[in-house]
Amino acid sequence: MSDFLKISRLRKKFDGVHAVENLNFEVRKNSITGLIGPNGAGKTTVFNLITRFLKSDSGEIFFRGETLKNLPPRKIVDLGIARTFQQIRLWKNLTVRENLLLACSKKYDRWWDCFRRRNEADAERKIDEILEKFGITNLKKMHASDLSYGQSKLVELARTILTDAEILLLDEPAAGINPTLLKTIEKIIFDLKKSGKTLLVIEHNMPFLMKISDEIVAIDGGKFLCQGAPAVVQKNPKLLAAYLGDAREILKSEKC
Amino acid sequence: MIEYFFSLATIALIWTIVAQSYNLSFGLAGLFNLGHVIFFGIGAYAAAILNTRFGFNFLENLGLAALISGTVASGFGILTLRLRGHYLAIATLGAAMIAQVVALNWLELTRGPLGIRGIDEPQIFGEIFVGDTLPHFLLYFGIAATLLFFLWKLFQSPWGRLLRAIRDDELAAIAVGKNIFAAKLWALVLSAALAGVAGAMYAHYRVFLDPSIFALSEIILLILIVVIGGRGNFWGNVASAFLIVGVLSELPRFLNFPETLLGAARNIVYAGLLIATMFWRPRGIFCRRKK
Repeated sequence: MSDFLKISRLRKKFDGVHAVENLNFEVRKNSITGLIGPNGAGKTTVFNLITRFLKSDSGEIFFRGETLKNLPPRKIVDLGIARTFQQIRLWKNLTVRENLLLACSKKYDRWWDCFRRRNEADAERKIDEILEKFGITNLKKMHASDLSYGQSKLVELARTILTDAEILLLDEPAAGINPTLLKTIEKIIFDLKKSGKTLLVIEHNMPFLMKISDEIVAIDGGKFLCQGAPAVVQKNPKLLAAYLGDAREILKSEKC
Repeated sequence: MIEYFFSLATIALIWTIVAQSYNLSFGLAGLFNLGHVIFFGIGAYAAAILNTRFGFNFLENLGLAALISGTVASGFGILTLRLRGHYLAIATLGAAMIAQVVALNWLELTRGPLGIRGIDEPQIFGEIFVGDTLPHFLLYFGIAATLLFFLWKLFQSPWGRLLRAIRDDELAAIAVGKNIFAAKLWALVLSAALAGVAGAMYAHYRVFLDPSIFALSEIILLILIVVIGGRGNFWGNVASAFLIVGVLSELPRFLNFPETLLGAARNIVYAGLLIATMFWRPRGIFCRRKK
């Protein structure tokens, strides 16, 4: 199924500036797709539009053939699309366990459930499993405010995975972390793919992204540039121009 | 003298319920609602009117006050909960001012500044709890304990956890699929219903009611209790309500201040405590200091 997630003629304007302009691309099921572009290209805006944190001016987004138009963001999660944020957003006054429990289920989300006998054993088991997999079991009882940047990244990723979404939108998962943690995240991403998940990843760490991605979508100024296998996209002249701009012309002229 | 202490403790119990209800919406859910006294006042006026005009008894009035305050809060919430931070604070403060003006001027309903007299004393199961201050205290203690147990269950529940998450970061809560509007609306409705019950208890205890119940000083007292007790801290707020209403409000009297200066002295004590808390215990004096 090629159009697992399909972006069609998407437009978004902020105060006259086109953040996303007539954007079209597709994400295949069970693939890792990298979304790249220079700073300000509109990558995070695309995530915000897919998850309906922002409403598009026009265009459509289809997930498994169904339009996401007019759905509130929480319904997008129910459909199976979850995301992380460029700036980590954990609940700082809650423990890691509580952060993860909130993502696990909606079983007791109503106030009158406080009188029901609770059984969160399933959720607790899932949390223990994921913390063990990530190698951060020792953080379970810590407050999120006491975590390091890298630990917070892992907990946010764990929280997103625990929503049980089919497609995960990861906004710069490798930004600002050390090489050891980078390897951990790489493994987590590959494991997610193996378990049948689909991933759309924004990242500026090109070697990392080229290594993990099956396909790359490049955008600039909110417009589609190119889409294809990493090796092919890397050589695309439009992409090189977008990243290097005038510098490429200067380098060319210096060679002459 | 003992009568005086029981009377003071009874008033402190009422304020514990109001403060704890405010702690639910402001402390736990982060709704900076400056109009919470509206619900306390509506509960009090509902009980006063239903009792003096229609003959409803104390127990019936507790339920009806909760229902009426909760219903008003649901409309109020639908209109205001899309607002955030300062906007919500200003809108709700405006609503509190309007409530006071209505109470002052709708003479047919509230008797305006003359107030409503002749409200029955609190009684339940016939005459058992009628009479002295001790039976009143015991009755109010029982009601407060029941309501606080209910609130404590809410604070400890996954729903309480969700409210704390919404208070800390709404977007993150939406990102894991939570219905934050419903959670906030229920927080407001429940906190209003509890404040309504406290209002009914207040009206029956004082047997007289006037529009000063909606005054700005009451809002400030509520915020003071919750800030001193610690936002979202359940037992901290119980202790804070007793400390402020039961002890500090009467401190100038114990220190033999002249009657004419009691109000001003009380405000100085409150302001001093608030400033000291902001400096040394910004998370509340009953919260652990952050390392």
